[in-house]
Amino acid sequence: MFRNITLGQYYPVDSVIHRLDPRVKLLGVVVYIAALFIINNIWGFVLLGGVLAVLIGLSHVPLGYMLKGLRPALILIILAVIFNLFSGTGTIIWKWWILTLTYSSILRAAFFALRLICVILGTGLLTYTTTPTTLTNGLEKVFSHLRFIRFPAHEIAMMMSIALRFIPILAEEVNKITNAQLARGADFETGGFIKKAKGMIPILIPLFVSAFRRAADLATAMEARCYHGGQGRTRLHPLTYQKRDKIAYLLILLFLLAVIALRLVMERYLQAGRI
Amino acid sequence: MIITLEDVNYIYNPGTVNARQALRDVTLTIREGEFIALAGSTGSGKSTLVQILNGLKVPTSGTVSYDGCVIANDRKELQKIRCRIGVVFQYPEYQLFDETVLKDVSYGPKNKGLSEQEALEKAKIALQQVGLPEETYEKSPFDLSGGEKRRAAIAGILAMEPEVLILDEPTAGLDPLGKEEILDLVRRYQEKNHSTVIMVTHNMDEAAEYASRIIVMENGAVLMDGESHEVFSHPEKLREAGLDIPQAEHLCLSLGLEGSITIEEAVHVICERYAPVSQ
Repeated sequence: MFRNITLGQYYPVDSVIHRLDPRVKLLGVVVYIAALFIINNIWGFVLLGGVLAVLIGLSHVPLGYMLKGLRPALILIILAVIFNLFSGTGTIIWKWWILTLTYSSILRAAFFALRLICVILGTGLLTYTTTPTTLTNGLEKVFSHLRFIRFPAHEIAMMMSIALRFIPILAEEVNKITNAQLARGADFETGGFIKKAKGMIPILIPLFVSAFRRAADLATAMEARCYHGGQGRTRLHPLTYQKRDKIAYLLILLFLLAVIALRLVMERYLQAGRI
Repeated sequence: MIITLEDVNYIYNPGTVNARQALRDVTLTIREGEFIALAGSTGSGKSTLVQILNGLKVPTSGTVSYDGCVIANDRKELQKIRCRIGVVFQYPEYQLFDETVLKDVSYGPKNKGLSEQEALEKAKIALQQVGLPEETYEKSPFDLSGGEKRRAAIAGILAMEPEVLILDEPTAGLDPLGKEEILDLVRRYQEKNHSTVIMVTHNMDEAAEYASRIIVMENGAVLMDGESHEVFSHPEKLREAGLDIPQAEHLCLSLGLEGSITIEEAVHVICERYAPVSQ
């Protein structure tokens, strides 16, 4: 029942996208999400979809695997579409009770769904091609530029990497405890909500106990290796930019310009059409 | 209860990059009243086999039958099987959760459908079997010592009165005295109830001392399966599986004596060789 805890798990293959510096990919995702909100017409989505398709192709992550990430968000997408569909203004094309359908609402619902799908696929691409450690290294490096406002970049990155590191460990732990209680004849699946919730106690209590124990052990282990925060700490593999990273930065910039240009051109064009 | 496995295969995450075959064509019969040691290096498939045996995992292919009946992949049926085959997992103390030791041990019997009163009765019997004194019954299980916790957790399984008892490395992380206590308790339980015991272990001394049959796993397949003297007469094959022969056998072999695997046997053989008749 808990076997499917996945948080954008890393897909271990070798590709250009995998090899890119995490800072490049982080900026890429930020620009990509910004672009999603800049574009406001179908041509923008065509451009974005094309770029995304090329990136997925380059990443060697199978499309089916990428699409699987959409499944948990499906309900959210459907709900968003329904709410957007029936809350439009303008020319009414269909009406029943308080539900009205308009051209603009259909368009908006479609864009909303596309945006959500693109956000999930785009961020998924980041986590599928970057190990959590590399990602937090990248974040630490990016946020260390905020040192002048005393932003604790190292501490936050360390907390994030520990949290990420512990997700699979705790998932495994849940699995083990569940098995142990199942072996004692536990039944987690029948009965009403209250009974099911009560049935979780034999899993949750041992899980908490073990999480605290692991946290204490980890703290001791870190202290034993003289960990005292980020000051003066160096890396075994410092992040360095390669040629491909510079090219990628250039491409990201070009993409951003293209998206902005597309919006401006299309707005001009539409206005012209209206006149 | 007789458990029969036929050509059982198990694959983790089938059809993905992470696919890994944990069991390969395992065919086994586990008869009533046997004390079996299941040995093998880490990753040889012992733990997966244990989970298949009590229906926590359903084989990817092949069949598992209990007393000749193949169990359907049905939640209710599997739950019943799990109540008849008790598994003590590695570090079982991590499964303790209830407010008192007694309540925790009665969790299993209650799941079996016994009334509160009956479950507490069974729990008390089980706690006596594992040798926990009465003053611990009302304590929080988290206040017990390591060895006591382990015994309380084992009592949690014994209270369900399983026909087959499976223990996954029951002595891991205990001190020598604690180890002996646990193993003797398992042996006493087995002799008293004539139930089947399967014990997963890396420790060949324990296997030689307690088990009558030894199953050696390697790379997901059964490498050796037989009476313990038989299995320990092939040291090369054991080494291939990352295991070794018992210390007692080492000693006897280096003295040029053969055929003893337990300390008792070794003492006997050595006395006979070096101090004959004179006593």
